[in-house]
Amino acid sequence: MGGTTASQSAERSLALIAGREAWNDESPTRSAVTKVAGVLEAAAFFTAAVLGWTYHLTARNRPNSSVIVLAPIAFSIICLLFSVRQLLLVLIGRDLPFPYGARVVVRSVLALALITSAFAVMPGWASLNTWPIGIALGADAALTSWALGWHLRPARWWPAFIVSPYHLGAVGGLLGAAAFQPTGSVWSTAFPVLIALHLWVVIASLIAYGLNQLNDNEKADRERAYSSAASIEHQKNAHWLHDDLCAQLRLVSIQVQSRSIELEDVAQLLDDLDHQIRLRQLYAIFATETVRVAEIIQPWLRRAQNNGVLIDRVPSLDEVSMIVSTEVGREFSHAVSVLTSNALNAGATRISFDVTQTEHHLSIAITDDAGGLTTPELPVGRALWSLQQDLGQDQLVVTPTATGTKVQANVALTERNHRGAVVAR
Amino acid sequence: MAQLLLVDDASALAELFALAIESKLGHSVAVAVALADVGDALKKIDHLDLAIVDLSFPQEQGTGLDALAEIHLACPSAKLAIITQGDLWVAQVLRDAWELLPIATVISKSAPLAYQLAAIESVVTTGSAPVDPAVQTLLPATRSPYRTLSSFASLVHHGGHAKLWTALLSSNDPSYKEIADISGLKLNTVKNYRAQLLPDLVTHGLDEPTLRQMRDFAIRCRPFLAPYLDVRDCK
Repeated sequence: MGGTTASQSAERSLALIAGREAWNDESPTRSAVTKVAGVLEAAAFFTAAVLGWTYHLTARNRPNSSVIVLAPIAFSIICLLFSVRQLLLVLIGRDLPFPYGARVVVRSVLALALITSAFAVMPGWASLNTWPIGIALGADAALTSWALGWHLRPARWWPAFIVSPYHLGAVGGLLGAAAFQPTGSVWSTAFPVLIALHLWVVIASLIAYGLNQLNDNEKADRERAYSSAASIEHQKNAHWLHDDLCAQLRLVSIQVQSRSIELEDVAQLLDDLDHQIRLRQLYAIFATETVRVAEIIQPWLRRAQNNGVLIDRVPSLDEVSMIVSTEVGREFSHAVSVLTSNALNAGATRISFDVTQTEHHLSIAITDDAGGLTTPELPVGRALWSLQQDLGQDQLVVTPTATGTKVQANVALTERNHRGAVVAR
Repeated sequence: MAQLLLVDDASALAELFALAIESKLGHSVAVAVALADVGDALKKIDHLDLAIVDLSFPQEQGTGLDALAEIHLACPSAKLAIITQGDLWVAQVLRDAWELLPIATVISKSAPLAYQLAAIESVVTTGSAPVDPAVQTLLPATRSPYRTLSSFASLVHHGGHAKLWTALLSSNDPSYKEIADISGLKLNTVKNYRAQLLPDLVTHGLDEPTLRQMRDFAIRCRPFLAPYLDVRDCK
């Protein structure tokens, strides 16, 4: 943030108190360093609770005030609350949808209760045992700043704490009390607490710095991986352009130059090339793991259209907006390919495409006007027969219609391809 | 003879297609090969019957949506048609155009020429034509009655929202910190403004969008959002 005014400082503090979940609009980042920071924070709070109980149970002179007796219980509850919540965030990734103001209030109250109970459980120099809270603070600050898009500068935290009004006020009060209490109790009770607070800030700074470095390293690794993947993809594309696309274009060019081909054939060759390019586009989308059914059937709609076939019916976006896993997508694409080619080869002049989805299957049905076909007639070894073997005997349904055939292929949405279909906008 | 305007950045293809329309259908066709040329082209035409607009302009900052909005504003009576490859690259822009503007038809660039010409002639003579089947799968069965040009007014309740959208439009990688820095708003104010807009964004198909998704939406629909950002009194 870099601002220096009091209001900017207050805003910064409130943003940190609100915590990372207040700023996490995106689906949770499951990067390794985020998980490390979350687990570190959870472990730190757990350790603090354990240290608190260890000290409480082993201390020689335990206070007997009822408030002090309840302090370890309150301290452990708060620590475990923070710890379990962080673990759940790491495992599940989502928090309860508290509004911003409520988050600030709840976390402020819990923080105040944590500090009070911590120093009540471990008074005097024993308060240095609360060092794990510094780790938790550093991890929490790092997580929040990443969610905010805020570049951390932990090296400035301790100097800023020393000159902060809170610290100066505490030091002033301490000196004043020491001047009027010659017994030295101030130096044995309040002064250690101040030192413990310094310890928290220093540890928090070190932890935040370390996590920030890890985060930067992970980002750099990710960038390198993206760059490497992009480079491989460019090489593949260049290879494909050279081997397939340019060769095919050259073939058409030579045929035209040698006058060995009719104009209609040139158009057909170019349409074939267009189809190959669109299939290539589809395979590229498969690699993204976010392919929609609409994108899978589109090349085959164009293929049919360019073959002079009239397309009577196609599904709308509402019916084909499902996003499917790559595995389902490839099987579905194969089914659409076989069914469309089958109709075109049979001499269809009109085709309809229908897509339906049930809990267990994603189905494509293609209805044509190219005469009849029944299941027992499927020639062994041909594409339709192979598709039936792939999908299962009952999953390729051939139904004669008045003018032709309706063939429906049901692609399984099983645990094997567990991502299945999800409805997308 | 009808007056047509063809807007497509593939200049050679556009000229050839315009020639085909003129020779086969007998209509007059003006061609604009850049979004910036659309205004000049409109000035040169007395009366526009049909504008045929491509959606993808990869060398420019805008999309065909900008051209469609400009034409619709200048000539509300002109019919609007889209000619597009209709692939994933333009799917969202196509949907926005379809839902927000009175698009008479959508023609696939990969369709046979005769099919394309028949669709154009149908729009000229009857006012509409069936959407090309190859592109139909990218469009919803019905247009949402709630998603209209006027629905963008509810995305700018006050000057603070205008600041938020303006900051999003100028941000490369929006985070709360960056938007706060650009807009001068406080972090929690940015958060509150985003929360206030969430119910209205559902109309535009955005369910709990991130700042990045809001930025993409704002850039895509800039021609419809911008008028509300300009006229509001920003505090």
